[in-house]
Amino acid sequence: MNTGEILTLKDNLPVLIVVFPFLFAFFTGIFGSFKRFICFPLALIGVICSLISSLFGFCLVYNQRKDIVYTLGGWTRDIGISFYLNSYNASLLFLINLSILFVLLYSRRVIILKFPDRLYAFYSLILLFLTGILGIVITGDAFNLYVFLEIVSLSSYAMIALNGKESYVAALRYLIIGTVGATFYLLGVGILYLKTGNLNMSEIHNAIISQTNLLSIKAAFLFITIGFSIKFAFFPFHSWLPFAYSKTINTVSAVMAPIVTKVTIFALIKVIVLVFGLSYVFSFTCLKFLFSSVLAPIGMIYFSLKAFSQKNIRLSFCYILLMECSLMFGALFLNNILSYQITMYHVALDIIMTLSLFLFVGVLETYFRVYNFSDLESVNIFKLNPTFCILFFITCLSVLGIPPTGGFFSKFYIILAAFTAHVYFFPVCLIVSSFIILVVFLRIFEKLYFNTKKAIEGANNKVPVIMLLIFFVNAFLILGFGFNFNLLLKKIISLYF
Amino acid sequence: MDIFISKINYVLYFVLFTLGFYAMMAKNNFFKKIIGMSIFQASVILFYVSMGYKKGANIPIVPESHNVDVNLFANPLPHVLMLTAIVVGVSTLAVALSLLQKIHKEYRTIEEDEVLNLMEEE
Repeated sequence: MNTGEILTLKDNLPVLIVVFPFLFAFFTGIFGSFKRFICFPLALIGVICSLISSLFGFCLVYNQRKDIVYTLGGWTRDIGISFYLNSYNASLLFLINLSILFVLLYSRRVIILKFPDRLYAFYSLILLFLTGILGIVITGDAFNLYVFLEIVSLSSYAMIALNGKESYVAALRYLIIGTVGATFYLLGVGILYLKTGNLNMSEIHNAIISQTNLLSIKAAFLFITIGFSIKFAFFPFHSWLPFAYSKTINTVSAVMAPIVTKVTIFALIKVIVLVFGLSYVFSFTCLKFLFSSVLAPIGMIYFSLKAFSQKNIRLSFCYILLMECSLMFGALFLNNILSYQITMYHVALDIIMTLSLFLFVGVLETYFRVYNFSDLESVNIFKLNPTFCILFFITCLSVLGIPPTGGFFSKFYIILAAFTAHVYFFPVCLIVSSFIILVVFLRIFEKLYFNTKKAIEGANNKVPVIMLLIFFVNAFLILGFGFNFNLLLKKIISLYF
Repeated sequence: MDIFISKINYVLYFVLFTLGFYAMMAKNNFFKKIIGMSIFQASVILFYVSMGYKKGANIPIVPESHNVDVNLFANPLPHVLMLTAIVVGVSTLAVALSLLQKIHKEYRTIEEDEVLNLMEEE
């Protein structure tokens, strides 16, 4: 970028997506501490600006049919930091912004009641969290990814600890395990830097492509994979997630649950594709055996049984989320191109599905005071809000994998990819765990839709219109993912950044 | 043996790494876990810092001329990167210690099993 050129907004779109929430996080923190009412509008403006720029970025990449490489400060990519924007990347940015926007709209009244004097802290934490997440998705620099990962982690620890007493313990345990994951990643990047002298992902790839047999590159790959698998709560490292998400307030779990695990798995996909290259990773047959044939199937069965055995609805949904994580991680190591594409499709879809699930829990807890499965009997939600319940039903169909919705396609093609890779235990466990999750949902449906008892006085709350709108958009997106499966797979999900 | 001695710095960082990892995973006291976390991060930071070292090299302040021998200057990039990592480590430590203070205020103990028992009793 020459200094003589006129800088346009369009040229700097990739960085604006990250800069808007970052800037507004400070505005919210500074101005919000003087005037309480200004916090929510400022946070909303920050998210909407980022949403619009990611939408523009998507249109730009989609129309150009060419990926954008943005170099920060005009430094070339072997010296400076660069941001990559392609069609998949940009749509993920859009979905993340959309889900944060939905949670902000849903939680406005709840947060004012919960923290009347600390609004500015809460909203600036959410915006900082969003900055980190968007940065992870967009960045093309291995060390920069670590910094964004830590921004996300630090703001999540603080957000989880907002609920007092039990949430402090949950946050501290999450902090200790999260630090292990991030430091493993840092060590892996360090080994790569030692070997290549570069931190840009594509440059590292060019340097290591001729010497992939080296033990140190293998060590780096394993450190990075294990670091990320700790971060997104893969089977043996999962204990922090249900603990953290069930002890905090429901708004925070609705902010974090849809995004953190999905974005971490996307970061792993990015590191695999950009740094190591698919053919290198495909040569690890031992990892394919360990992750796809042993840990992921056991994890799926274990988590679905755990989801079945919980009394608390939110905890049960946390285990469903963990089951989806195991599914995606297992699918990733099936070692064929189809499984990579399907995992990327499922990452985007799962953001919407998990958002719906956790917002549903939020509505139950806030408007109906329902926390456990047994409490569902006392309120008659379906009679009061039939539309809301039907829209939620579509999400459940997608989580289970029933045809018209997007979940069916991802599960069907994951099973197909597993058969092509000659892994048979994984699809069997996937089907069995889907049936167990069906039982979990049937427990909800039975009390939600077939409740003949009269509602107790005082519990006759109606779900606000804004929630109906949010659930409508979610259901629309889930059906849209299903109906446009081929289009999405061909046009948007491109493996090469 | 020669390789062991010539790579003695990496061996030391590995010892620190496992020491910190052990403390984080096996200790019951939250404070010891946090100290372990600090050691764990410090080992990776030291690993990066020693990466930039070259034998007989000078500080990386380069005079403005075109023919500079790279081998005469230490690599400053890992050191600069570690400034960021140190900041991250310090802020993680600060968050951890403030959470620990809150836990101590609420439960009057910082032993993990005692805290978990108290949580289950409620």
